[in-house]
Amino acid sequence: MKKNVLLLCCLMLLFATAIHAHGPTRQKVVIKQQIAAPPQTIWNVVKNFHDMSWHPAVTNTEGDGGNSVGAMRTLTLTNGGQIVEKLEKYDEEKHSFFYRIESVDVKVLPVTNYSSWFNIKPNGEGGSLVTWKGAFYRGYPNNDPPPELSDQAAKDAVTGVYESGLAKLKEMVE
Amino acid sequence: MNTDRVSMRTLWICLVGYLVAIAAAATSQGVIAAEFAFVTNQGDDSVSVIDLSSQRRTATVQVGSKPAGIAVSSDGRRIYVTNPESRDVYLLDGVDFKSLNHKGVGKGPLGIALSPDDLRVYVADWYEDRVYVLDAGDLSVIQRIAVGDSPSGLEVSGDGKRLYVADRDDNMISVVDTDDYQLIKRIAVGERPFGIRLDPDGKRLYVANVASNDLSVIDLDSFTVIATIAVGSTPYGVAVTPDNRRVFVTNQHENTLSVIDADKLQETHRLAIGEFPEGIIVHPSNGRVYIANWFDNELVVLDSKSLQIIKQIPTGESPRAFGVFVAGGS
Repeated sequence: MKKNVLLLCCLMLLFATAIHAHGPTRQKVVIKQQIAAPPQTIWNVVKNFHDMSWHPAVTNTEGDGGNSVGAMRTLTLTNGGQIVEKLEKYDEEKHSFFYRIESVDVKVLPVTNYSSWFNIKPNGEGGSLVTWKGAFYRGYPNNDPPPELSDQAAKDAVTGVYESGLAKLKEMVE
Repeated sequence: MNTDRVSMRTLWICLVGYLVAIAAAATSQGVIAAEFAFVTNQGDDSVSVIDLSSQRRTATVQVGSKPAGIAVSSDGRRIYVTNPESRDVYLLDGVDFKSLNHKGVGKGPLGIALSPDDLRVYVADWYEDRVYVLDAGDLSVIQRIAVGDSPSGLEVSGDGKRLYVADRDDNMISVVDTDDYQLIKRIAVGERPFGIRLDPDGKRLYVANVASNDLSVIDLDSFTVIATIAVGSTPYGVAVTPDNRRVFVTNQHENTLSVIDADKLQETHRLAIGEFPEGIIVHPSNGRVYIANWFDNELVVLDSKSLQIIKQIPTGESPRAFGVFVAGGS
């Protein structure tokens, strides 16, 4: 029993440090998408932080706290993995929000210390320019990462999430 | 009456002569020094050279892989750059803007600082949890100092005798005696201290704590934290005006700059500054603050008094500018 408690403590300690330790180089991904619909129409689809069912890779989405700063959401993905995210900033008027990943297995999404912005702006032609961008470190916090946890793997994975999401959004509202 | 006028004139002549002498001294020593900002661009393996008079990028120097840390010698002639991915330190010529030398250092060189006499370079190794002491001339390793977990920001006292190290994943500042390289003190600060800066008097060390969203103020006589000031989200870099009156903190996730009154130890302003602000420094004489915005790929020029943004100067991809990137800056 004592051993188990000790083991659990060690594991928790490992987990706690794993959250913040990271590789040497922060990565960024910016994907922009022109959509032929006014910002409000797109905003209506994405504006509820706990409801990310519009994204093709998300099979289940739940959360609490509404759209207040500190609200949490848990996304279950088509691959079965889960991502827990926290809302950090929300601007109804500017149609933008900012959130961070609280916890994710790097096997689900190979990133650490991930933060992301979602923003919709009028494009001047009656439509919108949607920008989704993220800042994050690779999944492997130490030197010489395996290929599936490299900087490139992290960038590719995030690019995939943004591109597929924005393409779906375009299809839904146009 | 007449004698009064004569003495006034003498006084004026003396005063003008004195001012000319000061200006001449400044030209021979310091002015070359702070003409440029050197910005590490982690996304394209380069250093942008920014001319601070014309406020334009005038040169780009290729360095190692994923450059982050930077230190500029007091005369501005030598520039040292850490490249955590290629695990080396580059020495650049600050006049001709070319690489002079580079050497492998540790497993994750990141934070970097020079001794005030410009003879030693201190390099924090993020992975090896130690600080390398290098000869500033040939980059050979003089010493290795064991410090805490994930050392990042470094500062050296004005007399060269103390090295301050932010041990990010230990939530500590290590104080090292540079005569015998012994760790003489560890000071608990906020969570995940990263960027640190001494005030120009050398009486205080300011520590930006990334995870607790605050700034620890350490009194260096007593080695105690005399204040913990709440700032914006994810503070990374810190800078101090030469007159010690104001402290600036880049709040990375909030895209803001906290302005702190150093006497009252209170935040007085919080300004929108651009996306993902990181490296920051106050120029030694022109009254301006320079801030590298990682997401926007620009160096913002801010007036330290009026707090107005004067200019946004394009840099390379993903600028970090982690360290003293303008000679004599603070």
